[in-house]
Amino acid sequence: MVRHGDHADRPAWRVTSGEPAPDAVERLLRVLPDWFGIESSVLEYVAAARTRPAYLAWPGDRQAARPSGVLLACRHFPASAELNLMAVDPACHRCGAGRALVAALEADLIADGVEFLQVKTQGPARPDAGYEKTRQFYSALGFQPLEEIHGLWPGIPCLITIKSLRTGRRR
Amino acid sequence: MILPQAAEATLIPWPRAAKAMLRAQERVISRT
Repeated sequence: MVRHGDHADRPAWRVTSGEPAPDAVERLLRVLPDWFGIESSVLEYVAAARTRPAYLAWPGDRQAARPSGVLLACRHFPASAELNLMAVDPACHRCGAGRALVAALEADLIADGVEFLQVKTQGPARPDAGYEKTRQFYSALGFQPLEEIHGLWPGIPCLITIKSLRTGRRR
Repeated sequence: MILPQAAEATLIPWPRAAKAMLRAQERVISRT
C-alpha cells in the first residue's frame, strides 16, 4: 500500500487496480447519461472492460460495497498511453475521486517509463455543459489541448488533450 | 496519409498495458 499523505479532515480515496471490472464500468456509465448516453458506446466500453485492468476509487473513510469511480487506460507505445474512460458517480463529483484515479494511473505509467498520457473527449466545437466540466477537470490536472479533430466520432468533435508525465505534473 | 514508418510502427506488438497496470495494487490517495 502506498500512502500519499492522509489528512484527518479530508478523508482519502482508496484506489485499487490490476483487475478487470466490467460490472462497475456498466453501473457507473448507467448513472451518467449526460456523458454516456449512446447505448452502443456503453456496450463497447463494457466489452473493453472485460479484458482491460481497471482502476477503482473507493471511499477511504468507510467500508463501501461498490466503487464510486472507475478508470480504464491502455498503452499505445512504450512512451505513450491513453486514458480511455473515466466515470465517477455524480454523487461523488468534485470530491477528489477522479483526481485520485488519475494520480494512481500516472504513478503506474511513470514507473514503467511512459512519458505522455492522452485523453480524448468531446471538443468545444459542440457546446455541452457536462463536457465543459470534463475539459476543465483535465485542464486542472495538467492536460493541454493538442488538436480538435472531426470524423473520429460521428457528429461529435474530438478534442485530443495530452500531458507530459515528466514535466506537466500539476496536482 | 500513412507514412511507411508509421505503418511499420503499428505492426510492433507493444504491450497494451504497462506492467504496473497489470499488478494488483491498493493505495490511499488524499483528497487534496
